[in-house]
Amino acid sequence: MSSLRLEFVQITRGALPRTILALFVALTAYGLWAGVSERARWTDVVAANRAQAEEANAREQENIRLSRQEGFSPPGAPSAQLMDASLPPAPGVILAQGDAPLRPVTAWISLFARSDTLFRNTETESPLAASLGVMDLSWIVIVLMPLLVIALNHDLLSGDRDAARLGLLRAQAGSLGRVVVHRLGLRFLLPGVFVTAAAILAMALGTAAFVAFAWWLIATLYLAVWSLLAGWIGVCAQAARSAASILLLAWLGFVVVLPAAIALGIDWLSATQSRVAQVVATREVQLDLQERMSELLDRYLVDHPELVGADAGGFARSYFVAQRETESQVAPVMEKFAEAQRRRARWHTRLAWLSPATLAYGGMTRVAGTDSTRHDAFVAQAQAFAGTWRDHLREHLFLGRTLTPDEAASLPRFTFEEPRGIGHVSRLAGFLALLGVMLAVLLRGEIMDDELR
Amino acid sequence: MSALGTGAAELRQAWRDGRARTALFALLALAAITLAIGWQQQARQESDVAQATAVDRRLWEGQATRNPHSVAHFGQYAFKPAGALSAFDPGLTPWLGTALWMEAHYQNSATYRPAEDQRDQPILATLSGAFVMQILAPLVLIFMGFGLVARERERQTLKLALASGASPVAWLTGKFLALAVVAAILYLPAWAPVMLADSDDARQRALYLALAYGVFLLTIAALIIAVSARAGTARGALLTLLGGWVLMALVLPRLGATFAEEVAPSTDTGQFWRDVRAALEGGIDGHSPAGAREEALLQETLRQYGVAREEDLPVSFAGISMQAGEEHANVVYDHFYGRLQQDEQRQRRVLRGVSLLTPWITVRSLSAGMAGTDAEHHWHFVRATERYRRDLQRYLNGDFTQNAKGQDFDYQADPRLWRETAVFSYRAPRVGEVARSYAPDALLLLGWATLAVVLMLSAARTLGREASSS
Repeated sequence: MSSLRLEFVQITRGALPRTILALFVALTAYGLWAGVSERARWTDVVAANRAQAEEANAREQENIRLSRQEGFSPPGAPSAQLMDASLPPAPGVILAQGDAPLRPVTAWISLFARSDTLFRNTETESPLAASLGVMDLSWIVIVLMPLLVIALNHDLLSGDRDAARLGLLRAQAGSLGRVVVHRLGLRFLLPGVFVTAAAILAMALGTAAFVAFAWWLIATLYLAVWSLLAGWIGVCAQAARSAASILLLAWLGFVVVLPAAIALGIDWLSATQSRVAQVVATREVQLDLQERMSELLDRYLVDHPELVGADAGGFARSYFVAQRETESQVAPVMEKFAEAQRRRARWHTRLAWLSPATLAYGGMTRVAGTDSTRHDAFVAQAQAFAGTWRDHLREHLFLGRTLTPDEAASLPRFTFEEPRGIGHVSRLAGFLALLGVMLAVLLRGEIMDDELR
Repeated sequence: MSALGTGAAELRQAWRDGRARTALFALLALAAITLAIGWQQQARQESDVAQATAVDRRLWEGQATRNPHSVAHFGQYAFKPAGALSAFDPGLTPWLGTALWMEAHYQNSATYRPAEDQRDQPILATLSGAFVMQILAPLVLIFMGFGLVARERERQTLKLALASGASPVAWLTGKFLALAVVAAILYLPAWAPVMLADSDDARQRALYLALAYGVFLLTIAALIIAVSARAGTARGALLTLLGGWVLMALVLPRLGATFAEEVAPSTDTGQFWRDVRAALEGGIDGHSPAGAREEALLQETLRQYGVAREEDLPVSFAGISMQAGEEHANVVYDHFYGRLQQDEQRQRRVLRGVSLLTPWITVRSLSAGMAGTDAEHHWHFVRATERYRRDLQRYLNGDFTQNAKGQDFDYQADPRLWRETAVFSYRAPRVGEVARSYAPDALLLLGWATLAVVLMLSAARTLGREASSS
């Protein structure tokens, strides 16, 4: 206990270290606040869209009861029914925001919804803030915490070597190895306390325990890797200054240059396809279909004998069929884009192993549910819900039936099912642990070195 | 020793250091690779846009005999050109839509933001020429310049140098010149846009861009010398400079972004369209319902033509009504899109305030502005598409009004009607047209440059006192 206090006093001696520590306390608090704010914003957006959908549904029920027509469609017309499919806030958004704020969280589902146009007119938020990026807890841990680790560990032994105190230290402690392990462990406590406190506070603020734990595990392993690297360099280097320089270069390489280079490399190896081609393909299909609307409707009714007795007239029916046909004809183009995205994701998975920072950040946003994986699941579920919606109302549309108030009230609602699977996280944790073990072996080898011993 | 002599001596010493040479060449190589990939992407985007624009026009003209209102609903797409300088600085491009559907009744927002398709957001940013100049070049300068004065102090050679009669200002200027030469080498990639430029305007923009980066790198060099001159040790100088870099280049811009969002929050998409729909229905003030507007329009039209019934009108009232609906919607869209722009302008002002704490936000804003990849240029494109859309609707509704009498939506127009419409062609604003809006950023950058020089001269005076006290 006394050695812990002694080490702590040593670390916090002087105004600069205290300022740095205070800065990190402030940053951690800020990261938490930013996460809580984002969760509140997301909750409000989803709640407002849900409320709008329920309000419209209640209004429709009243219109049907009163036979009151609003807009173009008669009350209870199946084509006029609308429901939201909204993505609730990610379970770990307090810990990692990732690129979630960029992605649309509500799709409006109607009989005419098409998978390629589920999200339209979403460009209303300012790009200025998005382009500068968010400073969430994960970003602080990945980018800034390694600097704290470097500041704490760069002079692990090299500082004593600078001051020609190694002999004295060896004589006092009996073994320099013990000193190194002792110091490394104690100095790791500070960043460890930061991430642990952040995870506990996030849990207290509503983050699911397993999400907070998985995030904490990745953060701790990532900082442990940095601590061991800093310890190893701090032992090897002849002077504290050169240890600091090497470590700062490592930070620059792994945290700044490599992730940026990986992003550029992915762009080069598997460029994001311009959606311009998709737009044009869709337009070509639409123009063709507009000229064959009645022919399409006839064919659809032949293909769906369950709709026997259907009224072949009416714009809504023709439009419904045209939308289905457009979706099916555009599907190969959409699949090309989906395949390009999958290819890009594969490249990212491969190249991310080059930079522990990229890897750990990806893992943190994955467990928090703020990377693209959860949003992809949402899009797939929203599309499936659109299918359910169509199945539910198709007969009404083709047999010319309007909904009763009870039928309107009992229209399906969308519920998001959280995707499962922590395979990626366990692989990532395993990799970081392996990296840590390798660095520990290197460090041990250095400590066992005769000259040092 | 004169300033030039000190500078030359420093340069010789720096050149002998293999690490310095490696860092310089590595950065230049990285910049070259980055620019090559950026240029390749920009060329692909330009070709996609040109191709899509041609196909969309062919589709538009290829519509068979139809009702003009159906044609208006089919609409046209406008695709935003990337611009030659986006290869150097993509700016806000990933966060801005690339395609805009111009149809009847709706002012749609641009869709297909590249960022939504990038499943792997980088931790800081994707490498680009601008990233190299803004983030990496200052770092190389820091590593090469942190010890220029502080190390002399550590080695006790500082007093010796100043005691030999050299003026502290001249001596420090020499150190600055040495670092400025390094900055000039790092500055080379900033000239790449001049070569990429495909028009006089782009060349002019590229020159301003290069000028901005020149001032920025010299500012950083002067700050480095000032810190190095005041630091007790080289290590202290390095720590201070790196800490400053982390704070100013990485942390403050993000804090600024959050602060700007707090002061002028972005409009939520759902709320935006709820407000628009409500205003389209009930008027912006909420007190002019659509039904009442329609009735008033009918009465006014009947008065204008001197008839008592709609059937007696010599024109199609449906056409008049649709155009009136468009005019009403235009007012609504101007109001709400105007509000979005105002919010962005407020955010921009907040960020300019934060620029007083860091020159990085300023140089970023100037760079994206000159490259034509910022929000200001995006809005210019949006306004151009909206002008075209409104003209198109007026033209089609005009034909409907004149020729659809008695047939209304059964009226079929000759395809020549839409084949003869003007082709949408977008021209990005000339630099002279938008320069005013970047004047505050340019002034802020100059302010930082002045501050850096003042700090350097103040450090020189401190050095003089230090030398004379010994």
